[in-house]
Amino acid sequence: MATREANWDTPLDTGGEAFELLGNSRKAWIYTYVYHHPSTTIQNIVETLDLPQRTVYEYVEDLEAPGFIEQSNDGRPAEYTAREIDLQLVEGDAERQITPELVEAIARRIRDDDIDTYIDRHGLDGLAVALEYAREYVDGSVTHQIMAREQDISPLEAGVILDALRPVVED
Amino acid sequence: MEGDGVVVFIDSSVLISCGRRESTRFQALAREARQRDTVFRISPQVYAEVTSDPALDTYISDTAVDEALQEGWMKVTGSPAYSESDVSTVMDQARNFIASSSNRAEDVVEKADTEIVGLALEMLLDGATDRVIVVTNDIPLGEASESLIPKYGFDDEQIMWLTGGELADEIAEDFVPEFD
Repeated sequence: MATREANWDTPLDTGGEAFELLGNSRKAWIYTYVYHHPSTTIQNIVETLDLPQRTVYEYVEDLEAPGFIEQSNDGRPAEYTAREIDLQLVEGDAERQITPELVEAIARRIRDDDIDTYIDRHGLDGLAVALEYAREYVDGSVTHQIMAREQDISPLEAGVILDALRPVVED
Repeated sequence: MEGDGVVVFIDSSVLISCGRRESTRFQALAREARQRDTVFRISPQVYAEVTSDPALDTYISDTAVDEALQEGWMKVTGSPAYSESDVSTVMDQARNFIASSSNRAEDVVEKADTEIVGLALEMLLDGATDRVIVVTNDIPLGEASESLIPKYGFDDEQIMWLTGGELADEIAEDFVPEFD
């Protein structure tokens, strides 16, 4: 008797996994690495990111199930390539997008104390807002003082987070 | 000693970027000052922003700017001469320019944000130098300097805008090479 297999690649399923990704900076770190380096092996990730092999196996599996990454070869060792994530969140007037850039910004908190501090002070929502300003900043349509005034933070803090997020939006 | 060299103003956006990680970026800045045989200038507003901001202890805990002042390769200038009408006017124009490039109401930009433009023009008008470089990562501010100052009778070559990374490569380097 054939049963129809559940398709976990639907908006509500991937949405849940995406939230999990935002809350787990090491998982975000792995996704981002694969996103920047298509056809990456587990060994590659273990060596470059200096994470325990068991964690990497587990997280790669977690990322593969909802389709954030997928195996891109047939042979062994398996090679992985990332897929785009683009989820829109709407709550009242606030609209936020979950994108590879937001995931990367979160991943960077592992290496960048300033991003880590900013998330502690302003939450992931604050980070998502800062990321929008960072896009405007590299496009040349905002200054750090303007961000400071509009977001009611100090100019130094605005300058710090714009500088920290610049590599995420510059490509 | 001063008078004929190029005058270089460094903006807070660049100093903040330099202060973010260890001291490699500040060292790059110091090296540039040495190589150019110049003393980098910062405005009183910029100095205040990078030394007395309420978020300072949370983020940048080092005192690299004060050290730079002590070492003598950076100095704080006076405020722009607001009483000189060209200086005051160019700052108003810069304010307007920034608001318009950022598509915002003018009151979100303060005149003090544009001190660097006022000081740059003042230097040229006084004949203290014939070339000024403004170093800022705030693109609208840099563009305002380059587009407004020539209107006061100076050549395009006399005012130049550089980003921190254009002044010294290290200032634009990414701390996270894994994502290159």
